Amino acid sequence: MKDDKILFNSGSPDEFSEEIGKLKSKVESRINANPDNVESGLAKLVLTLIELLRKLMEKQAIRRIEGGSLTDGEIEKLGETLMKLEMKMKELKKIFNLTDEDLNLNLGPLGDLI
Amino acid sequence: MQENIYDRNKNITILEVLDRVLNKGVVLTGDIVISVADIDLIYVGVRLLLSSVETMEKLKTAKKTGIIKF
Amino acid sequence: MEKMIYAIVDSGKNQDGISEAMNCVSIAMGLPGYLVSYKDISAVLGILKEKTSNVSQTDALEYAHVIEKLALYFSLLPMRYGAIVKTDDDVRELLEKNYEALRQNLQKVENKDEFSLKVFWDYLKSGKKIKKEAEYADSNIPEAMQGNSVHKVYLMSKLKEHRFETMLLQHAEQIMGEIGRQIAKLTPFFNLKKMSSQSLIIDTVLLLEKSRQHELIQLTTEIQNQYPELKLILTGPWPPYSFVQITLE
Repeated sequence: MKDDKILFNSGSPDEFSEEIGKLKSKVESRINANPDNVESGLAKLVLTLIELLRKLMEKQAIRRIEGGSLTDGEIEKLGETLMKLEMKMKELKKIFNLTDEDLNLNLGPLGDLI
Repeated sequence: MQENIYDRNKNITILEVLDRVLNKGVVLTGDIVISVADIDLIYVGVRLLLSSVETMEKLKTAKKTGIIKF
Repeated sequence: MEKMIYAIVDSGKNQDGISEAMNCVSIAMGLPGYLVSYKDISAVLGILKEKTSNVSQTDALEYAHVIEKLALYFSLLPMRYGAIVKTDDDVRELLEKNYEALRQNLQKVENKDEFSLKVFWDYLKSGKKIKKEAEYADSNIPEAMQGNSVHKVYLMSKLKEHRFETMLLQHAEQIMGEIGRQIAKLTPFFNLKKMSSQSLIIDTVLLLEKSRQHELIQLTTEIQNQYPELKLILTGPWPPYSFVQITLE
């Protein structure tokens, strides 16, 4: 009975294993009782939010640049700030031993954050 | 490879089934519900999903290391 | 004794095969299943042999199997696994309290099956396709961005990255819109999730008349032909798990 539930499949295992990974993390995130996880969970949460803000700022900055209303000096300042921000994030990720994947917030219809 | 397509399809089907049975369907709450606590069910969910994940991971690893060729 | 509710069924119409249906439950549970009814709806109950702990994958799959068998005899609303109750009276009261909602849902799913369609795209492959076509990313640079300072070089790479992502997203939006439209033509009952991940661009479940399954397979084939670079997985028919989002108290 089970085997003939697939009516059409042009995929390869890679696609579906990602799907599985998501399901796995969806279920795992509901279980937060383990005290060992609390600390790293907190760091993850905080860094994810910071990363979210950083990406939003980056987008905002690009939009302004595209808009053409910024001066040379303003753009330099912007570049410097964003660069420093990104470097800082990389440092923090290293300290807490988190990868980009770990920080990925699934925002539903907005798709993956990163 | 016939055998692996079969395994792959079986795993897809198992996952679809488990996702439905554990995450969808009509939900019962209130005083009349007893015994199986939410946490148990979630735990069950993780174990079931994890065992499916493991199988898929094995398939994935096997493909990467060239043991199985697709 | 504890009992588990498998499904809420429309018992008003079909009186044939009830004992066969109840036997499906007994295969899983050891004791035959039975119905607790209120007016023309019933709950299918199975008596639990022992305390439910350490539930295994087999148990969950067995549960699904029973539901599939029940669906051969009844129009039904599947319960999520683990709906355990103490007395039949509790169940009868549950049916009475929620009669309208249950009736409406049974009506909705009558003669229909659930299907799942997942559409994956290769972010990188599709990206390469766009990159070739689009010169835009390299042109139209604002005046003030001219220069080779470290910061400007950094910003240029970010700019190109963002432009590329925007084009990619537009491309994805176009595909999702098109597929969504075609599904909507097939049935009004569908939940469409867009961009669940970078590769899963469409994740949809739909409720379709049993007799029209081939139309859905055909649509899937057409979509594949239209977008050969996409990967599609269509599964079904399933009992309508995803279309009974109600909570009973």
